[in-house]
Amino acid sequence: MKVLFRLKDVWKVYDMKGTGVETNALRGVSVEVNKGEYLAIVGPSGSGKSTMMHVMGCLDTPNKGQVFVDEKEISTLSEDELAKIRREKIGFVFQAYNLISGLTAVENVALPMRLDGKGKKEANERAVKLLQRVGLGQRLNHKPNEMSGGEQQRVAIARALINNPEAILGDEPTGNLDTRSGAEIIELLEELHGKEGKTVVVVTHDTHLAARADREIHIKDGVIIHDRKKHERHSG
Amino acid sequence: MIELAIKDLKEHRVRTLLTALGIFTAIAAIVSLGSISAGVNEMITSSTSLMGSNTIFVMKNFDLSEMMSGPPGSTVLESIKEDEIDSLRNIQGVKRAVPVISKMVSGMFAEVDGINMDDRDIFGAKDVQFDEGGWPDNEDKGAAIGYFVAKSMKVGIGDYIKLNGYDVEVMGVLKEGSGSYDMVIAIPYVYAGEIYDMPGEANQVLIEPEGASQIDDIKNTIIEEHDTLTVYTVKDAVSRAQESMATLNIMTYGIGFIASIVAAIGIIITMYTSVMERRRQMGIMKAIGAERRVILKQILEEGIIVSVISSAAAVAISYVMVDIMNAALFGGARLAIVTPALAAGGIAYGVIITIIFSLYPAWVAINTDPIDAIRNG
Repeated sequence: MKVLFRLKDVWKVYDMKGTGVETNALRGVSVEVNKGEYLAIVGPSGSGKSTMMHVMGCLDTPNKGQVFVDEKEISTLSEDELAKIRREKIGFVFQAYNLISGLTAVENVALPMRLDGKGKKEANERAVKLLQRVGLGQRLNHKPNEMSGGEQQRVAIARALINNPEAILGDEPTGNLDTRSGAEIIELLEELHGKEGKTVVVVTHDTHLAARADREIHIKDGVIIHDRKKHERHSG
Repeated sequence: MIELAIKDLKEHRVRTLLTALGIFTAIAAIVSLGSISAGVNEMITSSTSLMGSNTIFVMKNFDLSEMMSGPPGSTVLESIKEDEIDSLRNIQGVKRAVPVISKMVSGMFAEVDGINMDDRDIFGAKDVQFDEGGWPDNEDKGAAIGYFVAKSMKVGIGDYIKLNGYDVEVMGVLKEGSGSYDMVIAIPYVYAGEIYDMPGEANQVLIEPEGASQIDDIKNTIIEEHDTLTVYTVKDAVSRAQESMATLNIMTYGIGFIASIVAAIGIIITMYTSVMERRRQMGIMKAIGAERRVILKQILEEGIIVSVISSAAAVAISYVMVDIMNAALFGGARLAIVTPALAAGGIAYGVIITIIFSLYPAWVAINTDPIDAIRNG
């Protein structure tokens, strides 16, 4: 099976500005994520799970160790090269949706494609199709403040899919949603994994979401405590 | 992706307006004040280009500092006498020496020139056009007046204007756009001598040499033989005028430059505030794959859009302000002009200072940490 993300003995240290206090967010983490896998990263607050996802998704760089995306080592890449990887291979979904307030749903979804140099017409056409796919065909010209939390998160998912990335990385994607909306997002992510073969990595406190994953990594104090496949979880 | 820049400007109207106001004020100041320099410069250029470049000017010696310290037209130049004029005519190499009686009209930016109408080509007046009427003949007791003189005095053909107590008939009104002739009252030399009690005398003599090679010899002869006379060529006149212009330019453009520094500070503040307000947006864009140049481009695009629109508006309002200035300060004479070069330069300057002073805010934007920006806004 092809490995999409590989972290090899990764350390990430945060230096609290002005205090000289260092926090070890990741301590020697090594993990491989295969293509087409559905992985949930769980752990208490401050355990380093978001940091792990950010490093995996080229949003952050480790202080020590190596990170590979699609077998390409990324530590020597420039900021713009990392941006290109994020744009082409990875779709992000954040807890706070992180849509751009002045843009409509279509414009928000089309944005990564526009950043990739594609024309407005082409990008908007694809954005409309994706919004219809996630059940928001009637919200195309609405701005984020005119939509519910669940709808905004679905726009965010559509945006994450616009460049047809290999992986969707979600940082607490259901964290700000009610039970029903959260369930809809969980279904959507499962569909992306099951029907479209996307690699899905989610960081979550949501046990329902975690339960749907093929694999669960439990992290605490920057160290992986256990790494279990679904059947291994059930068998305890 | 310019639509993203436009949307953002529309969404933050107050900030956009404040940035635009700073640029507008600076460019309006530069162009309006610069129009005085531009207008005077154009007048000098048109006057000297109308005349032959070989023309030599002769005046009685005068105290420049006394002239510059008094109001316009207040300095009375001594007149050149008839025998002196004859002496100038007889200098070797002189084709003709044309005496001129020149007087400023009090309360106006206008000049009376008493000339022999047969010699008016030495002023370049041969090719100027008339709206109505024409040049008076040498024996006429009338005047040809410039467009702005007619407009200020509200006179036309057949009307009379008062010169030194004499009622002089208007026999011709020149077309607008005749350069320095817009502000001239031309009367026959003999009649001017009668009006100003200077028969056969002159305030200046214009000498046409037989050829360009004679200029220096004629000049030197005059300096040697007439120590009461000052002599200069068109080239000397232009460079003297340009020296005077330098002070004017420093004043007009200097004030404009100071205004633009104030605008530049305003640009940095509003653009920086704009970037800090949108840290989260910058972070999101970086997170979803925007490269640094895209962020930079967006910030600069916003600045350019605002600066082009506000600079163009400033230039447009300057045309109105210049008309008001000409009416209020120069009696309607078109002394201040917004030339095409000044207009284009004003817009270009507005755009350039905006780009320069947007660079620091843009640098802050492209160096935004996406995670920090998303978490903390």
